[in-house]
Amino acid sequence: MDAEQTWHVWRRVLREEPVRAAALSGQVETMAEPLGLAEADVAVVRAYAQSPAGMTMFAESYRYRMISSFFNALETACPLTRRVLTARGRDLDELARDILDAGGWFDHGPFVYTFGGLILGYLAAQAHDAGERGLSDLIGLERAGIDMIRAAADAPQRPRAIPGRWRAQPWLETYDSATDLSVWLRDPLGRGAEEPPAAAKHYVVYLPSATTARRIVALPDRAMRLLSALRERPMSLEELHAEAGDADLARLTKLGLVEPPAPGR
Amino acid sequence: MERPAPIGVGIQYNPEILDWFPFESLDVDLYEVLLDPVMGPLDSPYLFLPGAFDKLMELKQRRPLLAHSNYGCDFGFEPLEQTAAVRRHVPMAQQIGSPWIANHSFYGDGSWLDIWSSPVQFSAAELVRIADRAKRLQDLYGMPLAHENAAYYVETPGADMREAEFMAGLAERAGTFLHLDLHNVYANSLNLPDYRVEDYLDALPLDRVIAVHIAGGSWWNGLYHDWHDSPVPEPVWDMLDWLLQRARPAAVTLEYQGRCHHESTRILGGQDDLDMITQDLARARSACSRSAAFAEASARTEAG
Repeated sequence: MDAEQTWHVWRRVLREEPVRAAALSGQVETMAEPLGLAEADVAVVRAYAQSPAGMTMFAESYRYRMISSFFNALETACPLTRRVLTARGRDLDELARDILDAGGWFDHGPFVYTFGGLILGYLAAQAHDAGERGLSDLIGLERAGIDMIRAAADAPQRPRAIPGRWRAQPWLETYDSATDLSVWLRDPLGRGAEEPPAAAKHYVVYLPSATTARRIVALPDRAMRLLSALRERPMSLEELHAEAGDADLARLTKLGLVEPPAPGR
Repeated sequence: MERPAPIGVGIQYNPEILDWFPFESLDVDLYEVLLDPVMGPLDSPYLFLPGAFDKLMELKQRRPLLAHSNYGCDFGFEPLEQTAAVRRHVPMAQQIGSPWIANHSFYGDGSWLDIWSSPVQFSAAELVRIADRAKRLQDLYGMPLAHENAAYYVETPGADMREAEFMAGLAERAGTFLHLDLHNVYANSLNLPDYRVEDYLDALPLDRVIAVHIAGGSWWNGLYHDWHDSPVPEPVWDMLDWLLQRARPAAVTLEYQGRCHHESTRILGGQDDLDMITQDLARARSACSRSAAFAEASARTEAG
């Protein structure tokens, strides 16, 4: 039996209930065609079916670990959303099963932020339908954070500073919120208990370095405009002064959102 | 690649039980670090999760750290360079200064939670393919690479040799080493027909065994499980005594964990379980004190 083919057939037994059911009921030959199993695949399934207790145990453990991977993705990629859901009494085990069912119990393995993004996509639709504006904004903010982290993974080397030019640091994303998430961001215990007030806010989620956790800050309008301009292109100090004042530049620099010029002309 | 020098008795530093278990107060010679729980996801720029490396360095001030790779997926079918082992575990093990690294004998790839049910196929063809990957991986690590034997309820079909012959052939062909999990051998002997502990141990090149795991497990629903939720059973102690009379592993490490694999795993906690772990550790020390290799290591430590 070819090892790679055997393994992939096993994965079908593990993940697809109809294939497992056919194996356990001794029906794999008759069910081969509708299940898309070639003759060699049937031989593999038959071999596993000789150990029904072991097969069943493996499948149970796999599903258990998949649910654990859901919680790992929640905590790693969208911890703020997790806390709001918990504060609002959401049954996270049930949510895990719903989302895994919707995704065909696909395992994202070490791509934890990718899984987190899919979880937030599922929750975003529910929050929108339920009119939960604060939660919708929080999800949007954390999705921006996930996009930022995944982009940083694809470009882990930060470009060198440019002589004479200020620029936005590359590992950041912005999110414009219709609600003021300050209470939720600052107070872990109070997060999610009350709906945040309606107020337009600009948030930036960024990574200061490849060893630190993400940070989230709120920016006033003028600082956000300056940051957006610098994200489009690096600027000289003269060009910056046309966009905003020194205080805005100093604020962005202190936060680590912009990088000063390299020494030299 | 040279065998590592003996270190002694260690414990697996498992984040699952970190909330109650006083790792730092234990009398151990090393901490075995599971790389996967502290690994930066592959869709992030992190090598270690934020803060994890600093915590490990604090731990390292107390005792040496020994890296352990479960989800490296290094024996799977995707290019070796794309695996979590190469992209993460190699630099991680180097950065924590691990004296050697152990990986696990599973198939895996970027969709990896099924590794525990996917022991490699014990066939001649797979021995050649996997040994090539193991040799290249050891070169990348730059330190001894030891392969841990798996616990499994069902062998991957298509085997044309026994597991012990496969593991022996793998280490010899690749120039690598063995991480002998005695509890996994014991668990398989209870669950699999014609799988005998004596036959397994007799077939191994004991000079290539550089590390040992011991643990306890539980019976549930007619099968015995490697759940690391119970005291080390007597047969495993007997296996360890047998091994230490014939081999010179550099470390014997105990494993305990939380509810990682199944909801029926007993959750550890409280004084009784702390007593269980400290008693197991004391017994492991006693067993190792009767071993020539560890006696030498101990003498060197005292002299130094």
